[in-house]
Amino acid sequence: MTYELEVLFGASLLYLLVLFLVAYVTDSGLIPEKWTSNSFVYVLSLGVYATSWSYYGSVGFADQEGFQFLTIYLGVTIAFLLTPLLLQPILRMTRDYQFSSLADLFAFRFRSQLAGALVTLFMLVGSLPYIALQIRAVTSSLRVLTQEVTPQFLALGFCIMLILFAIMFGARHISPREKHTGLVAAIAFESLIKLAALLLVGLFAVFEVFSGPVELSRWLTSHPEATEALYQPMREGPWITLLFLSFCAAFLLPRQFHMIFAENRSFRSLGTASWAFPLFLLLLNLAIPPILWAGNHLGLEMDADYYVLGITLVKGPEWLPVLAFIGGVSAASAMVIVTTLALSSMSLNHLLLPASYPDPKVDLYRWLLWGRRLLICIIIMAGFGFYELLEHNQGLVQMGLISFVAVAQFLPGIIGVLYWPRATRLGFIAGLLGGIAVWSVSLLLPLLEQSGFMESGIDLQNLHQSSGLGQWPFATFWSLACNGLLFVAVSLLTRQSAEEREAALACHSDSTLSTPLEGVVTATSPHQFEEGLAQIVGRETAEMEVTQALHDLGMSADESRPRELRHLREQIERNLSGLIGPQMAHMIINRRLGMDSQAKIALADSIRHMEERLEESRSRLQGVSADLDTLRRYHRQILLDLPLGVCAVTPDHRVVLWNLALEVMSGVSANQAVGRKLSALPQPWAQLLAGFALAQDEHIPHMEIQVDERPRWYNLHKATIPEPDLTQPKDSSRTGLVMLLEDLTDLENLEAELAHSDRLATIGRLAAGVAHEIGNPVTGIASLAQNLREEQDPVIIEESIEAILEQTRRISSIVQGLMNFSRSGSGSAGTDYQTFALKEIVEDAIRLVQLTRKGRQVECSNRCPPHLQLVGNRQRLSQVLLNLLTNACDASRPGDEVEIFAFEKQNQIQLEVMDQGQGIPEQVQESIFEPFFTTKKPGEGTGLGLSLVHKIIQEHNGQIDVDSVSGVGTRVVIRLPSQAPPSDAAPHTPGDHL
Amino acid sequence: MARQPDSDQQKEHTLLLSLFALFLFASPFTVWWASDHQPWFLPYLLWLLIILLCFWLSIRYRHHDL
Repeated sequence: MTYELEVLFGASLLYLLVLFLVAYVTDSGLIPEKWTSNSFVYVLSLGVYATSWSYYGSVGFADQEGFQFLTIYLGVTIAFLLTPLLLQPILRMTRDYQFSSLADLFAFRFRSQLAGALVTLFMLVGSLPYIALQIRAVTSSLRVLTQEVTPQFLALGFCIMLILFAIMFGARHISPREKHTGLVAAIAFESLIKLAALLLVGLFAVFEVFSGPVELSRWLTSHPEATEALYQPMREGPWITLLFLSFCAAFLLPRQFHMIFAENRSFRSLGTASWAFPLFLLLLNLAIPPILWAGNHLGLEMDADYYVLGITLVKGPEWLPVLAFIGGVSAASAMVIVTTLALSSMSLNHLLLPASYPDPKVDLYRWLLWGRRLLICIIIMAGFGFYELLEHNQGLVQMGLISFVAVAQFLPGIIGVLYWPRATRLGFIAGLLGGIAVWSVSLLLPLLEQSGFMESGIDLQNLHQSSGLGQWPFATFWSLACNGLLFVAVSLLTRQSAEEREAALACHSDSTLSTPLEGVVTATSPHQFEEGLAQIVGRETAEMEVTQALHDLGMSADESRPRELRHLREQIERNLSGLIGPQMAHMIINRRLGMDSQAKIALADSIRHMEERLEESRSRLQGVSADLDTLRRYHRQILLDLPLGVCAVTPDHRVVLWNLALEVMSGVSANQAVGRKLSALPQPWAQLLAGFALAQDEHIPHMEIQVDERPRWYNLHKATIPEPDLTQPKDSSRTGLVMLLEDLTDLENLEAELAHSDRLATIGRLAAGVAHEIGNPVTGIASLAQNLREEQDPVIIEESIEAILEQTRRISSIVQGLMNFSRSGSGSAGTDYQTFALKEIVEDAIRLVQLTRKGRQVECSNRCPPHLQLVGNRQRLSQVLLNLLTNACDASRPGDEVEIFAFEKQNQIQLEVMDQGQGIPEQVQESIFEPFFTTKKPGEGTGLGLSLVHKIIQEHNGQIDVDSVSGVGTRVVIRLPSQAPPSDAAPHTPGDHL
Repeated sequence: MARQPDSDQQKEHTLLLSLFALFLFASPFTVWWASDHQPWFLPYLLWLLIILLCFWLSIRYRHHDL
């Protein structure tokens, strides 16, 4: 059976269009996201590993080297088994720092443009044989199907098709940073086609060439050399070398790195891939032995590489060879497209951009896009050139393995990145150069020589024979030995720069703490970042990048805290690195968004930074560090849980600590407060705390402020603390502050309630007396009025009216006194300071006390001079007097006298209440002012009276003393300042103290 | 992203599995089972065994996925 060239070419084109359609439909969202971000789509997309080498070349490899062909996939299995140790750390780094390739990773870690460029160049050179191999597979398969020699331009045509599709898949959008979900879906589809085609051909081999599994096993039994041919090379060939090479290739090949890491969308997918991808490879290879045996059985006279096509040509439906051919095209094109995309972005970031950075006036995104497209063309054409140069009788396997040994040179570097922070840039470069040199001499040059491309005097091809090793073990061993030795030796002999050390810790998968942030950002707003960037990337790009970074971090555009700005700077660098590679991004950010390394880092930032890092690495701390961390948490918890509000600030008044109680009190969360200056906090806290911080006093009791238009009271305390400077030796001239806020509002309200209750209780006690006192005049008025009805004499009428009025006045004064007394004292009564005559309130108090039975039995004498004036809360001082008089009367016997004296003495007014009662026993005297302390029987008094008296006198900045002798009497002395209102109890603003 | 304490255990088990795989496929034991009289699908069976063990481990440590 033969086929027409045009038919096959058309079929390939059609297939590629279908592939593109899959990508397009995915990208435009027509397929639901759920399907396209499925783990199994990801797993299938990794199937790009199996190229036409797997598709065709495995059978040829099996024919020559038996089961050795499985090593190419067993090595991958082992690499994926090690996902948690090997692949996941790399994925984490790739996501954190937005690497798009292995070159980005190395350039970041070693902070070296040279490293990135070297890796890129080597990857390019190492990939060319592989690309050439794909082209060869397609042209050879065309030849097998058409039985003609393929015209030269067909290979070129295929390459041009590939260039177009690569551009359409990966360089279509203006912003090349977006993930290519379409590409991933297309590659997954392509893997399915490959798998289906190969399995179909396998089934065809088993059921059509042999008439079923039974016949196959009979054939095998009668041809034991078939299985022998499979097993024998396993025992003798370079089995372990090949395993090792495919292990490295599994994740270091550019297309593999790209699909596994750069296009990955979730950690979970990688976890699934650890077993699902090897399973895919197993299924793919299941068909190989049957196809081989079918080919042998049919006695095909062609390169075993193409048995896949060969056996379908001899028998079977017409469409099967075409399907098989499409499978091959699929495998080849996927490899070329993905590899080219990966290589083009690498070359852009590490070769093109550093060499010729675009003018800031040019739109950066557009420039990047066209740069990419150009590179895609160049790379594929270079692959074509390599294909042309090579001798056509090279086995497919040889060309593939050369690439494998090339990428294996990056293994020492990767292990160093993950597990050896001491590795240095020079060590890496030296190792790489050494490995490349040995690779070139042992593999590349022989290949070129064999094709007649060049001549060298050395017998390179047989170099390995003198060592007794096969070609591949020889090349692998010596290149890696050289690489590894130079890497380790030169790393140990050289030192790292500070930047490198920082990058090393960031990459090291076991790092517990990264270095503390050094230096302070010089910019004070995101807008300044835009200004700085605009000069290199152009205004529009700068704006877009800064906006994107702000969006990523959920930050507002008027952020000003240094710590947050530093996060912003890091995010901008990360985003830019996804665009132009980490090295360029780092350079630009360093140059344009500078840091002031001399400025002392704000303590607030360091502390928060340190705490965050400790949180992250909590489970990794061990031994003393873990104990210290536990102790730190314990102390921090104490501070956080204190019922007092705690606020610690740095010498320049930036908040460092803002505990939970303070959050609740103020409604300002710790996140908002920490890092800000006190004056930048919301009012009224800014004024309160900033003012207190500057005030002389270390304690301010009873500070009243208005919060949400309601008054609240706080006791404020502060103390200085030396600042623990985390980056510099002790400098005792800088001291911070810790401020404590005690919320007294509830207490104040409670005391006001108590005072009110006490008043009401007093009134209750007076009620009986009141009733009596009002009752008498009312009776008097009633009888006078009755008499008036019949009275004619105007004089007596006049007298009676006077008497009635007198009685009503008496009633009024009692009622007024009661009303005055009972008026509720809310907190703001504390502000009601008046000037009044002392004698008056004493009179009021006496009048009230005489409403009680006891009060009437005792004679109260007011000996206060009329000129003495008091300034204070009239109502509360009345309460004081009433309480004292009540106590005095209760203690006296009927007929005793209670005297009230007052006089002025040294700027104070002294008021004395003396009784001749039973006195207060000495052991009780200390406790009389305690709340709820009473010597009376239950029901006769609350025990609150004297404590309230004490409090009220204190509020007025006065003193109260009790002088008492049992059996003789008691003298209560009150001293009050005479003129100025008591300063501390009056409300004032913090500004008063400045 | 705080690591759980038994992610160390996951790493240990992974390492163990890899060593087992190497034992099967890259040790003198390989030479032993790769004798001429074995059925042709034996390597595939052993390969499948490794895959199944890996699957089992991944199920077991699924909650570590981020």
